[in-house]
Amino acid sequence: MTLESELNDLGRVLLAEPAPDLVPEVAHRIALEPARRPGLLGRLDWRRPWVRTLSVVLALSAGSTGVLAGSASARERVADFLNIPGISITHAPAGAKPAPQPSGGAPFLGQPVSLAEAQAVAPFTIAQPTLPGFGAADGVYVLPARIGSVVSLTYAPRPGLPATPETGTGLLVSQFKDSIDAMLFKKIIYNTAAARPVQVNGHQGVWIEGPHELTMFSADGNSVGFPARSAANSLVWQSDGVILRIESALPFDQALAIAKSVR
Amino acid sequence: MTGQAPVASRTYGPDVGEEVLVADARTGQAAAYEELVRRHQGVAYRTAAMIVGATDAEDVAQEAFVKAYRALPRFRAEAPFRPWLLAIVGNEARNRQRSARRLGSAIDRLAALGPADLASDPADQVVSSDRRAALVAAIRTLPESDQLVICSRYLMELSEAETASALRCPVGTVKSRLSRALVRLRDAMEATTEEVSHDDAGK
Repeated sequence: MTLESELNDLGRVLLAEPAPDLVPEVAHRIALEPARRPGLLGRLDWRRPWVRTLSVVLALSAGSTGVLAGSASARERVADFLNIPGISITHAPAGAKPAPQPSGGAPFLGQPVSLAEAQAVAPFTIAQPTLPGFGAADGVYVLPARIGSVVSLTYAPRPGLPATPETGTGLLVSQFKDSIDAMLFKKIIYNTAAARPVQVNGHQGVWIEGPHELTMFSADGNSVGFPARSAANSLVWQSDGVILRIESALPFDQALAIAKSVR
Repeated sequence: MTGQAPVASRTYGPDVGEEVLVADARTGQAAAYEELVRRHQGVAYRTAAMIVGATDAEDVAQEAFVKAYRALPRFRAEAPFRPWLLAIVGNEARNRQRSARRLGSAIDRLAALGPADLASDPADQVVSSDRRAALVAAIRTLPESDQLVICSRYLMELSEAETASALRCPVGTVKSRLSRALVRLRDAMEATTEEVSHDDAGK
């Protein structure tokens, strides 16, 4: 008998016990995942970069599992958001609690750079709000190249543009080229927030009002290393292959006005 | 919860091909994914146990299956599912390992999965329980990285590609570690055999 077959024999002895049945719990958890639309997904070629782009995952938490399971209308509403390429929607487990806000104030947005430096590495033309009152951004950041160029612009608080406790700044504009490969942008909405589909200059978007949780994931579902953070009112939309996201304390109509002016 | 699915009532038994399961799971067929979980939960659980130990293995495997489901739209349909899944299991296990104290070595973590009655006889060939115990002891003398490839490749009978995925190392590394580990094991086992013969001779 060879050593290899003795090792095989040892494996069969040591591993004779059946593994625990994971199916019920996994089935329960994936039932809380986004509704996938076969028609849309079937048409998409997931090998194309724009399809594998940043995804925004909205997780809607209902009051209880029973409510969520029975709430077909809530699921259908969020399924509508799937019309945005690269954005997927999921439900958070009922009763889940938001992650504690990491200490240290401002979220990590990447390396502070000049706009020219950001433009040099960004594979798209950096868009900025052109609304009167919004001049040059007060801060420009680029996330590490490992996960692609995510450019963030910050605008300091001022009258009419209050600071948000989540970002410590008045307005945060983040943009990502859809060639950022297979990254996942996950938003978890607790009952402190609500989400609805909106239009921005004819492009489909999502408005999330109220504090919610923001995490980034890589292709295999692991965190890319930034802690989950609480986010303020956010408007996310896709325009010409770029995902744009603005975050502020402003109500919808003002946020939409800024979003419409971003170019 | 598969109410929106077009063929929600479809059942997926052991006769359904894996490509069909993957394709249907990608379109949200929960039942198709459940069959994938059913087929691969044993290897996922044991791979997790080998890395993090029995206590956390169930949690890690479960989390990996959920993450794999989320990542399924980005899975290349023509690729085999198991190495891809094991890569996610391995990642999840290593992430967990950083936050939890890992006990013992790979062989001990695997051995802890069940009441290891080394005298039982699962195969046609009979290997004595003493011989099995000696083999466990010999594996325990190997460096951790060698134990992981030996356990993956021979005890769990993963392919070289699956071993490489789970341990996140190149296939070439798996091969070289295996051949080195086998040489060491063979030496250790020969030494054991010689000791036993001497003991017998002395009786």
